[in-house]
Amino acid sequence: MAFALSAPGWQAERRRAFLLGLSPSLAVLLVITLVPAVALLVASFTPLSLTDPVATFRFDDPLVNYRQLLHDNRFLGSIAVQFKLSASSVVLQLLVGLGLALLLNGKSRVLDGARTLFLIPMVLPPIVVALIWKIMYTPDVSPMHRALEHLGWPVRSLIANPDTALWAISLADTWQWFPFTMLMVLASLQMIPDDPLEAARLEGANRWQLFRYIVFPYIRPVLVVCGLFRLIDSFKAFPLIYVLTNGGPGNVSEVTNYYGFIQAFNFSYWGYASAIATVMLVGVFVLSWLVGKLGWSDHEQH
Amino acid sequence: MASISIRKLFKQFGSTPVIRGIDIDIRDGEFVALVGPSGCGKSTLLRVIAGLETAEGGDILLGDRRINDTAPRDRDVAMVFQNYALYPHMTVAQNLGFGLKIQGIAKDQIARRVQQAADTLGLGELLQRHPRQLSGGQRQRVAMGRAIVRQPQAFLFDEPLSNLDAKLRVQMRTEIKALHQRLGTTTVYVTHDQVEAMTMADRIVVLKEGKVEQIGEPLALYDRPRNAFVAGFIGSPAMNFIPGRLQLDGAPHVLTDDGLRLPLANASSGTHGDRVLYGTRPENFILDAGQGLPADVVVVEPTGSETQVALRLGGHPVMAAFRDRIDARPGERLPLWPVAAKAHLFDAAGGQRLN
Amino acid sequence: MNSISRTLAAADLAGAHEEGAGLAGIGTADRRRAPWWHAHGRSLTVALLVLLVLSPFLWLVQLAFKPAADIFDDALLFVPTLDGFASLLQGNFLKSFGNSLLVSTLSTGFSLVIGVPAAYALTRWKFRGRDRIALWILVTRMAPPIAFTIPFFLAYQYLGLQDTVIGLAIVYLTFNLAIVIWLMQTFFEAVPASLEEAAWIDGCGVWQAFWRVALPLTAPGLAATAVMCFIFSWNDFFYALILTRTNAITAPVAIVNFLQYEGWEWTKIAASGTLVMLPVIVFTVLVRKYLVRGLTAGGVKD
Repeated sequence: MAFALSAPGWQAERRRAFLLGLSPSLAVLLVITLVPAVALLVASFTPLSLTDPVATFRFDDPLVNYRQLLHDNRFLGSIAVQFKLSASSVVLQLLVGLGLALLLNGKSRVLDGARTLFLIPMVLPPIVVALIWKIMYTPDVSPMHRALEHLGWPVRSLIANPDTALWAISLADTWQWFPFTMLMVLASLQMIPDDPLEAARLEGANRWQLFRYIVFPYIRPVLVVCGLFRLIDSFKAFPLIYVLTNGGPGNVSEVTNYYGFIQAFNFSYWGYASAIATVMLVGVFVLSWLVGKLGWSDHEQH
Repeated sequence: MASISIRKLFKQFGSTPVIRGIDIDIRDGEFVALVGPSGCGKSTLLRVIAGLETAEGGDILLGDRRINDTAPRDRDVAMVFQNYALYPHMTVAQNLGFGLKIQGIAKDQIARRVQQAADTLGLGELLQRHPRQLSGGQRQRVAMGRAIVRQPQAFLFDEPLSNLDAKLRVQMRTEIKALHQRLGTTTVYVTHDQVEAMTMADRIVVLKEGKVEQIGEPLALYDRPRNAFVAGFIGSPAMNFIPGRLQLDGAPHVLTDDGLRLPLANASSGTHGDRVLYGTRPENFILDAGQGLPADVVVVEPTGSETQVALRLGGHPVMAAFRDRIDARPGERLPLWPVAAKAHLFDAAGGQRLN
Repeated sequence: MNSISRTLAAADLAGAHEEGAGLAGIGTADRRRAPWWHAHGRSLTVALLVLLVLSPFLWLVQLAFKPAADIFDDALLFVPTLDGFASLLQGNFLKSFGNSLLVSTLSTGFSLVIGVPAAYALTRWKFRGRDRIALWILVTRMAPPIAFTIPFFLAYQYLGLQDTVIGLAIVYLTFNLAIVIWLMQTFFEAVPASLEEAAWIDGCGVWQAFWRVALPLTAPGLAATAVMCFIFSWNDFFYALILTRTNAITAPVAIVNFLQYEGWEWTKIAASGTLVMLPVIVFTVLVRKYLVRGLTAGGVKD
């Protein structure tokens, strides 16, 4: 930005004023985001461990952590787990959100009340959501388990079973986040112009046809953006895993985020954890850029 | 001394020049109207005077002070915006007193001056209301009140009446002019409506594409427009332009391509055979059974005070306006004669006045 | 505007769902058969669904009021008691609740003071690089907390900000500042620039016009933004878990302590969960209009 800050005149005065307003934010953002990001990167090049910080803060082999990551089965496993969890819960969220949005789109007090009530899972503190599902998955206190018992299908704890633990988490995650998709799709359904719907109805189209040929193409971009948003957010999933399974049984529900957490705060391998975090950050950056591009360039399709 | 001088002003947006060298001298206490088609730069010019935009070249002087780099708040001018720009979260009284409050004037002084302005504009009852509770005309008055209360050196109006309905517009025109006569403050008034300019201004500046076409008193512009553009812009219904060739052998006249002879009163600065535009205002036609040219009536539009008739004179559409009631029917033929003494002659290519 | 941003604009009016063009509206035109079923069937289905989907949440809340002796019973009816809540008064919980309040308020305050002027400057000052800043803001919001906690943990040890309310409030700026800037930008854009111009001519400088004209006109948006910041700060678990111990411990982390150290005291857990969610539910109802804007901050161009 080439301009003269010291020049006299109203233009310059305005520029100075705006700069004054903007700089605290820029400074703060710099200090609390860029600096830590750089520090993270730097730490990822060292075998830093808090058991002996001075001795381990060295750069003789900068890529040691990254090389280790490539061979670390637990890390690679965590990526697979992350992928499974993210994919399943995002898909479920989209389906449930879409279904409910279609169901709830209309006028009536009941529907309006339902739409507000369905927001609850999304706005609850994540820790409370984790508690709710901890209760649901603990056979002693869970209404679900007891109901199934009464019906003659006793089920053991889902989260103690390695085959079902991840699905249990996925279900809880879907419960928490379906309102997001629901809200977005509802808003999008509002925007569909009446004319194509009317015309198709007059020509005798049934509900499924209306959905497939008119409604769905219209809301598809919203679904895509929703999916991407939820995907990126799903990397942050922590309280659910921490409270429900602690990454277990074994490592079946240990996502990459959690693995990094353990490395840093259980084992104190900060260098290694930094490398994990850096890899995650790069992934998030790429996805965010994708979201940004899609959001910005969508109007070319219309 | 609240004269405004604009010297060689130049302004561009990005790489598009909007004002291309303008010189205007506004005298202290004068009411000057800036008119022109959209895009001519009149609003931009006003905003530059107000300080909301900065000019790339030239000078603006208020009195003898060069104000190019002065902040709007230090220029001691007041502006009435097209959409009024009233502060929605303040009452009318607070809107009126806002400028004074910023200046740090004492509360009782503010109250007094606000009351004065409110009385002048008939806003006394509305002082505690909010802008959203007012009609368009009332908001207009509050916007003006806000300007008056500050007793500035100059008023700047940016198309203030364009959002009002026709009847209100006519009424407000008179009120604004009366206000100017009373207060005597230098006023710069931007409008695209030349009737407003004609009725209100001491002098009119006609702008086109960032340049001044003509400056002068309303009647001077009306009677002797410097070029075809000004001639066609000022006056409603607009002047008629009939193309032809100038004939200077014998009595000067213009010969149209279909053989009609249009009379001229005196010799002009053109050469025989030049392609010219013959300009005559609608009210300068008479019906002359003897020498009238055959014109076919297309539409008759009686306005009550006059009768406007659209005709085809040879191949040219013209509009005539008669004071008397004319009993004409579409399809009839009338003997139309333009009064030579009131005819205008313009060069067909460049548009400059030739007579 | 592209369809996404149009959707978001409509989502803001999520309260006005009266004119839905969804599929559900199509069936109501068909009055020939069983009108009762058509008219009320949907409402019934929806009501049942609401009950079903929200049952885990309701279960938690009712558990908070159950006498400890009855929690393993199946009876749905019981005599409610406030013992669960009373037991929270001993120990750390009340203090942690107060800490949550303090941290959330401080963080909201910091973010607003720093972020609102920046949002104003970004709205009124056209300069190159605005889009790059937008991407930066998006990334800070999307980044997994683990990427920031490692550097912050180390820095806070060094600076003595570990386990302090101030330290936590500063960390929360990593996401709150971005929210404030993004949301307030959209609100400032809705204020016509001519109002500020009028203020300049009336005698104001840039920041005077901001304070007296622009800011008051964004009051509802400002309030909604403040509430969003409060909610996001209140709900945080990860940063609080890592960066606090006993002094600055916040409510979400305190609950988890019940799980680990004090055994599985379900009524206590349920009671604390209910308390922790209360402020959030209340505030959410207040700002539901702006919910979607806040959740998708940075992702789409308005």
